[in-house]
Amino acid sequence: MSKRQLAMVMDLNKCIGCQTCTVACKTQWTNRNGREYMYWNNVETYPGTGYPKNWMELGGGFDAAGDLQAGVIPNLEADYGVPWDYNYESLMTDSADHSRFQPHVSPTWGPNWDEDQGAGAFPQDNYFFYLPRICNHCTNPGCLSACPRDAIFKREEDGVVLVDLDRCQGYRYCIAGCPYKKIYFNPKISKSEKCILCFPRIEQGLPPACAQQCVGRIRFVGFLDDEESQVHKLVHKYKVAIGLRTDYGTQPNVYYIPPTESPAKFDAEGKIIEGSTRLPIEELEKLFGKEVHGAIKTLKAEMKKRKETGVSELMDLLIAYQHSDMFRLDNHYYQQVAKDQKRNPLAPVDTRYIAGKFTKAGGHH
Amino acid sequence: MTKIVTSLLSLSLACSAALAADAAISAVKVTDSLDAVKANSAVWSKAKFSSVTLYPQTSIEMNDKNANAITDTLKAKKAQVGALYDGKNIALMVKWADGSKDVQAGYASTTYSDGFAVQLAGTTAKPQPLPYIGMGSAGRPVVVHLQKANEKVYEPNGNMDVSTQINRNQTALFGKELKEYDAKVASLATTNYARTFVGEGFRSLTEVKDGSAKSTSGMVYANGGWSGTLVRPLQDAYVNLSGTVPLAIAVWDGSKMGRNGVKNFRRGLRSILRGKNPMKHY
Repeated sequence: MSKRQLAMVMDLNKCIGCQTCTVACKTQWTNRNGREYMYWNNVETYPGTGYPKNWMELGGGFDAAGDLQAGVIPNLEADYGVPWDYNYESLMTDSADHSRFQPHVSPTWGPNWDEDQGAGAFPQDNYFFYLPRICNHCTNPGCLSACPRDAIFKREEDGVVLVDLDRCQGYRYCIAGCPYKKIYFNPKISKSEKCILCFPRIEQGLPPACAQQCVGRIRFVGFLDDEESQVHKLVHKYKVAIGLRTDYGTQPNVYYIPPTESPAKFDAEGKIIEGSTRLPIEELEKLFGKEVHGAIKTLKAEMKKRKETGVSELMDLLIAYQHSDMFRLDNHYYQQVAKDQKRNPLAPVDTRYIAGKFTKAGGHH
Repeated sequence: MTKIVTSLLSLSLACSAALAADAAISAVKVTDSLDAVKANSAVWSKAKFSSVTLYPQTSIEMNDKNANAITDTLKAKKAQVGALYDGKNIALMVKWADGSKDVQAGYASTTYSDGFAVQLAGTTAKPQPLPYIGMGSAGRPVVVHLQKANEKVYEPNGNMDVSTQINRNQTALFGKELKEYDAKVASLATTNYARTFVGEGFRSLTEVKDGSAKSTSGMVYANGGWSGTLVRPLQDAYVNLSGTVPLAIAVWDGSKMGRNGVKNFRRGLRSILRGKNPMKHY
């Protein structure tokens, strides 16, 4: 367990599925060098197959006794989807090529293949919502437990879970061990890689790229032990932010404000069924457990209070008027960590990500 | 070229045959230099090959469902192991049958490569008890030479050459310039995946990257089987191969999802878990 824990809260009531977070992450980290198929941040439609395909059925995590559960390593083509390229080169340079602009493979699957499909019958009772997902930087990471090489570690200063690329030998047990399937095999370097919570940004007091770019302002980032932080208030004070599939036993540190509102259903004549709601509570229970009831109750009570009195700290928090209302990071903290560890404060604090945790020049562990 | 077999040695590499009654591997002394020995070198005609049974590793069950599902189908394999030494280096050859040539290549997440490894005990003063057969134990280090059949690997090399990491279609290059870019990227690939590690217990295995462990190895596939060779000094900072030295050999079958890291996983649970990594021999 780390000394401190960074956490992220995502308000699902505000996510519009625009994928700006996805693109922010991709352009920052995963558009190159074997990572092309990876989405360290993805936004999937729920209910849906998700990314990778049917990830909730692929095992991993821990049972009630705390034993790591076996899992399945997704297939790149069938479960993630091959990132296809286009025939730019031949169109530009080959005068004999009269073909049209086309992908170099015939795509059969990809992220968001079933975007916006959801469940239910249109237009009577169809429904869906967006579920953005990153690595949960778990307190008890399945990936870390699964690694036979001790190549995955959790930073003491903030709980960020990283792969030590020097130690990783690409066995992929981490992928089977992660119940969220948020760690990926990079076939080009034959190592596993994952969301790093933008730690080089965090260490400079900046939020992760996905959170910074979010147009819906759904993401809050801060330290869970900082009582003034938005994440502390949402998770611990108001208890409206809940971890995803906490039944997996990894103690995720990405939390979600569950969706509280959905339209009413239509009857056979297309008339609104008063008092009905399209989003089945069972679906939310599956994702967030029984706690979701309390969270929704609190959210609705605070909405009512805000309507009636004009005052609600929780509603103000969730509205997120400006970035300073969403992120509470402290680069001075990291500077102190660097100072304590006698490191260059301008360099990323965790050089292990690059250099290798146990590698020592001139000797061995 | 005169090649004289001087003796069957004082150098005897005894397989740590706790699991099998295979014969010891006797290294034959030769006068030829072994510096550049490969699988097809003529000097191997002087080697005395021993038959070694390689058993499926079933003592530890890993957490890969698909691999676990085929563990029960794995059978023991016979390998032929020979050794030569020239007073400076020792050369080992491991030959084993493998019906499919599995080379990790392409853009895939669920393919695995064939490979082999030779593990040597760093402490030989007291051959019994042996270093723990997994990855050594505290104060009783082991050295592991690993060779995998990989096509091309672009490992981070610490040279900050990120410009060559860009996907070719995301560059602003076309035609000749793009071809030059492709060639530059290709030149950065590692095509011979050979690694040396030291370990003193589960999860401690660490690659030696400081040049203090020199070795060369390779794998050649022909006639339905692999021939793996390893050449390393008789003595270095980690191992002194004089006298009888405990030795372990492992081979991996990529088609059976074989890969490293099995026996050093989840110490203390091995009595109840079963492994999938095929054909380990201790």
